[in-house]
Amino acid sequence: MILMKDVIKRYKEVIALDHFSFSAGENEIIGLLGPNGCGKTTAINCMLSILKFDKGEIEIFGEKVDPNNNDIKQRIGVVPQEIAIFNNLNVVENISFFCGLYVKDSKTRKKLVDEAIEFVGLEKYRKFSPRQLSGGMKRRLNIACGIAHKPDLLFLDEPTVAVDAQSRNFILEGVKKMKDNGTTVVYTTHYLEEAEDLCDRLVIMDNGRNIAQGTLNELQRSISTQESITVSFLDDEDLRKKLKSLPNVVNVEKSGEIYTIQFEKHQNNLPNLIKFIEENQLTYTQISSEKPSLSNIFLELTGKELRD
Amino acid sequence: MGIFKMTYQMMLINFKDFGYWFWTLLYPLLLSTLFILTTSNITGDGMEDIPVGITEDHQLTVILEDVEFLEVTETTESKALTLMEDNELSGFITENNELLVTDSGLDQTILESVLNEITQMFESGIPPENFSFDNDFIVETHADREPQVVMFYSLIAMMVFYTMFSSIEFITTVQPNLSTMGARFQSSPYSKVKLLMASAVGALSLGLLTNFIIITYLMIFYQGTLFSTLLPTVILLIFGNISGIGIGFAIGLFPKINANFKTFVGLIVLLALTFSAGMIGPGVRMLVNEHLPLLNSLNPVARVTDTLFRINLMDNFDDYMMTLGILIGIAVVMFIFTLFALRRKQYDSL
Repeated sequence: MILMKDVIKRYKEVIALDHFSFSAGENEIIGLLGPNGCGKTTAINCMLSILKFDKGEIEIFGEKVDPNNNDIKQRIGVVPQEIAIFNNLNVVENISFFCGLYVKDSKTRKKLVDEAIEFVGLEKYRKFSPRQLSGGMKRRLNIACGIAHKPDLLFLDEPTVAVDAQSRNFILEGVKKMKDNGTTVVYTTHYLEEAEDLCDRLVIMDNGRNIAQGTLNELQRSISTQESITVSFLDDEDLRKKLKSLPNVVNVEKSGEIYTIQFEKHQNNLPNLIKFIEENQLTYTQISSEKPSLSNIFLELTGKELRD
Repeated sequence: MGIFKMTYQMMLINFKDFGYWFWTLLYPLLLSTLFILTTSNITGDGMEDIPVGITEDHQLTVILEDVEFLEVTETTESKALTLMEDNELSGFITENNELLVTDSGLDQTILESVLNEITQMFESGIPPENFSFDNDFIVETHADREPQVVMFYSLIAMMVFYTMFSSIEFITTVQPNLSTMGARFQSSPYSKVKLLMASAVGALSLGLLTNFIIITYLMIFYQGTLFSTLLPTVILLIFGNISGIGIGFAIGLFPKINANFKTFVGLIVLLALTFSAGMIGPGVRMLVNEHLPLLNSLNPVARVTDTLFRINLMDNFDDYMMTLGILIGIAVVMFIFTLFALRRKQYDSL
């Protein structure tokens, strides 16, 4: 559905996209993940043919993107990162206006607008001005304006920034529903837990480059840390040296009484650790094992933490 | 959606904006009220013809009788002197084409100017049937005579260009490098031509509505006559509104400047043009005409002001088509420029 190949985009001296390649198939949610300024929005704007790019190719629905290609545009929906609505129009009028850029027939449009309002849960606020809505509701309205015409491909650019928990859940559930209805979603975020929960495939971006892509499992397998065990000891002794001597350990971090031990293989690490605790007569209050998170993956791939 | 629905939506966006109504309706109404209040004491009885005497069977009689603002009486020099002392004549033209006056004033200045012009035209061999007395001195001197009229006309001229604010806002909104909504417009398949037309028609409709309200207000509350030829006035106002829309589109295209700043710049430029056209009194306009004559001949606000004056108070349409041509010319150039700037546009940066 989307094929982006070796795209280079420069802003004078700054390279925003550096040989960026990316693909998305039908009916999947693909996450573009990376810190602020890594090139996610630039990549979307190039795909939307709003931004010129210096080199590379972009195809959507099998056709080269072009500002004149209205057939492609007709099948795409956009939810910009910033809230992009008319403050002078109420909820219904806003959605109807933007839906009207795609749908000519007024009856069809009315039906689609009603569905979009229901989809984002703003039925009680139909006649409300955006000024009367909370930040989360405005975000939902922003989304409704981009999805009302039922696009086959939807670009959602950081839709949950500065959103309350209730609206965030509503938005995430909505995105899943859209996928169930057959829409392909390109979802950019720098919230790792969101991406883990939502996306079928992930593309990790840093400095305009695609540094890794695949499913969460594939990404987890691609890094050296395969298991992370967190244990909380009651003993005062610094155990880092001793823990590092355990098989497969690649790193040990200590934060207060909590130790995070990273293992390069997923092989009897927990039994080995428990055996170590018993042999050293240590007291622990809790212990848990988990596969590497996206945060671990990002840290290992880029050498830096992904922060808000 | 279709172009009519889009036009309606564009109107709705402005219709619900208090700022729009303040600047396009309340502010001109406030100015109109102030002008009416401040000029109510100095309003005269309107334009009065200048009584002039001339010797019997003079070759200029026929020519002078054609001048709209002159009331020509054939008489003798002695009778004329008596009539001038009784203020029934402002001047008398002798057999030798000399102007005889017993007083000095505006009427006498106008008569002298007319006589000089006739003499010059005779000397340059222009046949009498081609004589024209619509030169600027006439407008200026009449403006001196009724300064408040120029103020009202320049206020109306300013008001017709207020449509620029809608188009500045629109053009800024649809560009992704200037507005968050720009990405929505730019990535949609909706025709840019239709969008532009809908915006223009929407701005024109609301502009004419505000014009209608303000003009009705003036017609009701202003004591003198402002509009004697309604249809040509309405056509002039429509063209002025369209020209304002075109100018707004061009201002809206300026990159890297937000809509509020552009609107502010538009307002300042418009006020300067209106100031130069004589809104705070004809003195400024005369000063500009004297020292920078090109400025007011190119100043669309001054053009509309002058043309409103000429067609309504002088019944003079010689300059009318030229003004319409300039206004529509500005609009067409700006529309085409805007369309080319927006169509198939891809941005280097956002």
